[in-house]
This record gives sequence, C-alpha cells and structure tokens, in this order.
Amino acid sequence: MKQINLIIPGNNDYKKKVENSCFLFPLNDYSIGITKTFNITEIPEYSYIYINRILDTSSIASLKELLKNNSNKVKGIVFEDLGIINIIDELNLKIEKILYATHALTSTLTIKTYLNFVDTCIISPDVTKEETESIINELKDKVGILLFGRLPLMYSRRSLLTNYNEEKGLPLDNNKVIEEKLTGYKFLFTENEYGTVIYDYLKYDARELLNNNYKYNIINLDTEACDIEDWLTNYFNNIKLEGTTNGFLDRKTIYKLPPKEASK
Amino acid sequence: MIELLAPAGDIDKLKFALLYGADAVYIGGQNYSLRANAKNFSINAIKEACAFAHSIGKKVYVTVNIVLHNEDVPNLLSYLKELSTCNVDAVIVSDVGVMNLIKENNLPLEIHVSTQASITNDKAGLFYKNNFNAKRLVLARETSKEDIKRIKDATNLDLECFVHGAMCTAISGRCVLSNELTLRDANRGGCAQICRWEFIKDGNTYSISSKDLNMIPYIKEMIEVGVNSFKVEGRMRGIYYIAVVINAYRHIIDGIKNNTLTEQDKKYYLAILNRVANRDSTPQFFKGVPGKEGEYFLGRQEESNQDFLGLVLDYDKETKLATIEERNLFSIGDKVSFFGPNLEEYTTTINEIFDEDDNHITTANKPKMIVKVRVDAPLSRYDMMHIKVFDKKDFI
Repeated sequence: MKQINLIIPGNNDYKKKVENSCFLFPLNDYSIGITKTFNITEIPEYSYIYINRILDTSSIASLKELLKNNSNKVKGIVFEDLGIINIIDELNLKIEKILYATHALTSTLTIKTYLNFVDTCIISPDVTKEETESIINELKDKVGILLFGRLPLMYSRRSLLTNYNEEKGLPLDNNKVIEEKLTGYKFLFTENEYGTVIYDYLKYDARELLNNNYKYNIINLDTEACDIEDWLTNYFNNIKLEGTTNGFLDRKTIYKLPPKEASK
Repeated sequence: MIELLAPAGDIDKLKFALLYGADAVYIGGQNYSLRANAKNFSINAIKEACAFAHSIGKKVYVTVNIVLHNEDVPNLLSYLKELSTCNVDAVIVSDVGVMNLIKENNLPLEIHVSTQASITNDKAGLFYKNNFNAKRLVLARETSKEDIKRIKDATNLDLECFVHGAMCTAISGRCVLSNELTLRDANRGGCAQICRWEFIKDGNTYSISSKDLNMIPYIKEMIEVGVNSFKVEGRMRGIYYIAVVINAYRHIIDGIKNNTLTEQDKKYYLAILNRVANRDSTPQFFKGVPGKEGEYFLGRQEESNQDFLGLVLDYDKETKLATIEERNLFSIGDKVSFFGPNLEEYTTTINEIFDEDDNHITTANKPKMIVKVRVDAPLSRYDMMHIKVFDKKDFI
C-alpha cells in the first residue's frame, strides 16, 4: 500500500501540490504546540485540518459552528478530543474522521473499538516497533503513524513558561529549550493561550516503519524552514537527519516495578 | 445524590476511609490499575472490601484505568469477568477497549469514565454515555465551573470531580515524561512524577510542579452546578491523612446539606487540611485557568507531618485506659486530642503512660509500640490521637 502523507506545513509551501500528500492545517484557536496555525479562511477547499486541543464546552460549540459554516473546506479532521466525533455526526457532515489521541491509541483492541466511530486512527508513538507493527498487521489501512516531527511528551492546560517568567520577572517567551537537571535531557516547551506542550528536543523519525502496510504518515514540518518538495525527496531517499530519535520504537516501557523498587 | 469518595490503597485504609465518613471508596486491583506499585487488592480482597462496604451501606469502585498495550489484553476479559463476580458497584475505566469488552460481553459492571479520559466538554461526555452506557463521568481536573454545569445539563449523568489531593501538571492521561526519562509507563501506573523534578531554563532552576488541589471553599458551588461525587486523591496515602481529609470533607458536605455550615467551619477545616498536607494547595481550575499561583517554582517543597501520635486499639471503660499503637513520639505532659468516626474532638493532657507490661513510662518513642494512656472520655477502636494544634473557636 502506498501511504498518504499528511503534512503539517512550516511555511507557505502548502500552496504547492505535493505528490501523494495532503496538507494538514492546524487551526487557529483549536491547536496547541504548533508554531504556525491557520485561519479557516486561509486554507484551500477540501483540506485536512488538525485540532489537537482538549476542548472546553464553549470551544467545542464554536468549532461546531465553524464546521457547519465551512463544510466545503474540510475533507478530514485529525483530532484528539472525542467530542469532535459527536459534532460531526450531529451535523451529518461527510468529513473523514482521523483520531489521533496522542497517548491513548496503544493497543489493537483500543483502536478497533474507536474504529466503530472514526475512519482512521493514528497509532500512538508511545509503543515499540513490534507493537506498532502488530497493530498495523491487523488493522492495515485503518491506521496511520506519526512518521516525522516533534515527539509529544506532555500536554498541560497551564502556561508553564509564562507563569515562571512572571514569577521571576523575566521577559516572556513561548518556545524554549529546557533541560532536566539530573539527566541533562533536553525538551522543547511550546506554549500558546491554551496551554503548553512539551516535546522531546530531538525530532522523531520513524522511517523504520515505512515498509508496513498502513494508510497515513503524519509529517510535522512545523519547525522546519525548508522547501517541502526537497525535504520530502531527501527524506524518502533515506538521507540521514541529524538530531533525531526513534522515540519508544526500541524502548519498551515498564508496567510494574520489581517489588524491591516499588517499595522505595 | 451527593457522595464523598475516598481512595483506599489496601483493606485497612478502606476501613478507615469508610468509617471516617466516606460514602464510597475507589480501589485498584493487582493489575490494570494506575497505581501499579501500591499494595492494591487481589480478587478475594476486592470481595472482602465489597462485603465490608455493603454491610455498612457504602460502595466500592474498582479502577481498571490503564491505557492498554497489546500485552495487557489477553487476560483482561477473564479479569473483568472475575470482577463482575465481586459485587463491585462500578469500575472506573479510561480505555474504550475495556469499555467495549464490558459491553460486548454483557458484563454486569457499571462504567464510570476515568479522569484519564480528559473529559472537559459535553460532547465528549455524550460519546461515553451514548456508546458505552457510561453512568458517571470523572471530569478532568481542568474542567471549569461553567463547563461542569454544561456537561451536567447535556448528559444528565452522575459527575465526579476531584476536590482534594495531588494534581498532575499535565491534563491527566496526556503525559509520557515518565516513560521518556525512566521508561516507567505513566499511563499504566508507573508514573515517576517527572513534573516534580527540577529543570534548567537559561541557566536557572526551573520547575513545572503543580500545587495540590483543595476545594473546601467551593463545595457548595460544586453541588449547585451538579457534581454528585466529591473525590479525594491518594491511594498511596496513609490512614491518618485519609481520616483527617475525609473527616473534614464529611463535615463540610453535611454542613452544606443541613444548612449549618459556617465560615468558621470552612476556615477551621481549611487550616486542618493545610496542616495535614505536605504541599501547598489551591482550588486550581474551578474558577478559571490558574496562573503562577497554581504552581511551585522552587523545586520540590514537601514537609512530613508528624501530628499523628497513635491509633486507638481498645478502650477499657472501667479503668479508662486506652490501648494505643504509637505512630510518633509523645510524652507525659503533652497536650493531645482524640478524634474518630464517632468522636468529633476530645482534648486532654497525657498524665500517665504504661507499657505493655503495665510499667510506668514517660515517653512512647518506638514506632508501633503498644502503650496504655488514661483518657477520661470514652474512646473506640479506630479513633486516633494527634497533636492538638487548632481549636475551632479560634477561627471566628
């Protein structure tokens, strides 16, 4: 199966046609952790939009109005909040529903269950390569993966950079590299008025999954200043990228600590 | 229905929570629960817990709230079937895979949707109601007063909200920092609390740690907007913390129900809760997104509370001797206070202490040593003795 790339653009290249790819537009006021977001009026007709906020009641009501008034604009939605399933159904819109509940789509059973309500699920990047392939083998064109981009590690409703800067009387910033004190591990904090996302500082690269039979690749070029066509050509020609991680693909997480550790 | 819901990490804590005023407790089984490293309950212990709770007209909810990986699935159905024989009142679930197994197999398990599902709007609530017949939503701690009301109006489901205890900096369920730094899976019960670690920003120590939650000032408003269950966090906490916190919220809720709650009561119980906690607390998101006042900025600031002096095991009405299991050092001359399931507060000074062989001693100084103390007021098993710190009359 030839996968379809859903590309979050980092510059104005979204006006180009890119083979085998669609652009995925993070929507103003409904996205978080993204530097470049779009107003609904800016995006071309029949596009995919990206809504990764956990929404409050008034936001979901306003989103419903937005979808109702712009149904011709939206071919599909990649989303996190399950309430969006409900509003698409209530409006009886023919919009492709792609669920990307970042940390919740980690088993075949879970994803199969969600597929009763959505068209496609993006497998969480929190699982190993073996787990990912096991899910893909069973669900094939009903699933996609995060192929490239920042690896999301935490989503907080709080303004974690602003609060600190205000407390310390420092100038405001909303995009900052921060280091864990003991390990020296680096994170990227990105904040907007709806909260803060913490990413791995290294960029996530899951090209080792490309040989599998699934539908969508999410490619997040939000922070890449590049020509998209050139970038894709290089990427799919397997050019080595500096400063990348394959996240949890070869790092299995522990469920329970051994008894001695647990008692500490 | 208004319910005070307490955490219980084991059968002892469960008994204390229920006896000190909780209407229900939530517990974890030995698998599939988000406190993987707590003692937790075997199937037999869950049966015992349910039998005890039901015998005094109270309820038990069991958390099955991990986010599943494929390796967790093979034994899940048999576990759910076992749970359905335990007479539990509900299961608290976050993963729709678990909900689906319950639904497809017609298991007699009422579904409460875990806070890990991050429900902050009415439409998400309806998703669980309409598709999985969920009876209750445990809302995200980030849900505001207005959103709680709208969710209630739209879903007409029971709503459960956290009112007290620790908070994630993240929206619950939306964090894998622990996975990244320690490989301990936060969404399967192994969270290493990275949000309480220290970071470096521009060469300075930087923190993202949240203060705890404390909703004492807003319980009445929460009732008015439709919250049914008032949930205290802390399955890893000890019996003294559970007893003090549950006792305080019991008095607050009953005072509201009976229309007898005064500002003095609120101030008094707030002081008590602040004393027993080891971290600062605020109401957090109820009135809007908290700013810097909701966080710590100077690293981890926790103080151990040593107010708990002893647990009453027995009381002899004739000799007026209370048998006490020591928890923190106390001596002759100390001013102490007793409280319990049927005892609001009794203050006295310790005049005599006897060891197990009835020898006079001046100090109880060994953890869990058994001593006898003469107390004029009749005490009961499960009463507790602590340092006398506050007096309600001082909170006018």
